[in-house]
Amino acid sequence: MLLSRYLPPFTYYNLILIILFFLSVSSIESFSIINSISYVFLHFLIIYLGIYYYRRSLYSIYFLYGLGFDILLINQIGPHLFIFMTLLFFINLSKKYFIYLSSLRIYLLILFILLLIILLEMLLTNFFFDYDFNLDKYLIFIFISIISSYPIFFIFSKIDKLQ
Amino acid sequence: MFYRKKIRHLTKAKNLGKLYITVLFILTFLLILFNKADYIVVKKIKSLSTDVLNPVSTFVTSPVKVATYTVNKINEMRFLQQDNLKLKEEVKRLKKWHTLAIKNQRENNALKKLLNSTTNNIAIIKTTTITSQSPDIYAKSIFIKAGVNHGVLEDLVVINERGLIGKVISSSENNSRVLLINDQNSSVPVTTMSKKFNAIIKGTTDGKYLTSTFVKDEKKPKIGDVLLTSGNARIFPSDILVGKVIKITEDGFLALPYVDFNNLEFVQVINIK
Repeated sequence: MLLSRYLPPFTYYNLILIILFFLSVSSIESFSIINSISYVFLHFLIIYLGIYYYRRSLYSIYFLYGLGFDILLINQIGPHLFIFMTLLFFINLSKKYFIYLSSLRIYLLILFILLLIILLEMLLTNFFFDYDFNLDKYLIFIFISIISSYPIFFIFSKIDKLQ
Repeated sequence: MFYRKKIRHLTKAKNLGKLYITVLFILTFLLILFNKADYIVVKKIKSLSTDVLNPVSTFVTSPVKVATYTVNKINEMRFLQQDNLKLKEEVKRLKKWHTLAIKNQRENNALKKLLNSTTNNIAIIKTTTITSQSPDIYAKSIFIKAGVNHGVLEDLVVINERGLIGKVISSSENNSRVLLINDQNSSVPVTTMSKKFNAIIKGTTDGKYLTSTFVKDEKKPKIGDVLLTSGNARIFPSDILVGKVIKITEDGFLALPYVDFNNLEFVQVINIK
């Protein structure tokens, strides 16, 4: 790619994050599934960046996205912000163990973390802000995650090679 | 000496990084705490982010919106002839109703004059458009293009030609956020046409229906009953269309809202006179 000489993969990931964020928080009539797809993709990217592109600036990036999600999706502050910040903290703590894992195991681990954090976000929203746990929605998220995980990682691996 | 050592220790890159992360974590917990306490700073952050993020969101999502709009238009073109025939029939039917409506309007005005009645209990603050709508992942809300500068304040009521839409929950200078009545945290006191039945309703988990949270004297409405705002507690003005009862359950009832929340375009912000 022409721009690969100038921009590192981390910048591309940030551009993707911005687009996914706005697609997740703004409803598009007659194509509402795009919100759920973007929401899941963004969570994938959040975990992926935490594992492979860990740096201190990620804390402020996660802080802003967590705050943005909370305000625009729930109009309260808490679940996303707390989960994103805690996630990065735990990824940083357990990063040293990831190097011993095979690529398949890391793939499954990311998928597991994704489903876990979405579940925790929904449970926290239910617990603190009285929004019932929407099982149908969660099943849609699981379905999207499983279907899209392989193509997403394929795209991510291509972006990684840009450097 | 001690302070100088401490400053040197803090200014080391590694320690600065640790300090920065700690500050962010403290900020996170403070924000969560202030949000629960409904502190003014959080309200400011919310309204500021609404003002900043809304235009960016509109800009970023516009290509997708244009693409879906084009696809829908192409799909509609396929059924143009059928739609045309349907519309012609509807125009004929509506013309009859129009004549009848004018007659009824005159009769209504004459009767109102005779009774010296002042039934209009609402004051229109602003008619405006919707800038964006939140997806149905958590809260059901819309953003409207009117704010404090236009007289739109918190707790004002929002309606459209079909009925009640919701209530303003936060407003910045030029934008406001409206919590829809199909949200799980909304609470609307309703009554039926006969005014013998009172209840409070909120949105269901999927946001498609309205469900009762409280029914006065455990009375049951009938299927097909029209629900109007009761005007109790003076949160919403009375007699605004809300929904139609479609199912009676053991705990209460289920209603279908009159407003189509997926096709909102123009709304009116009103206040009780």
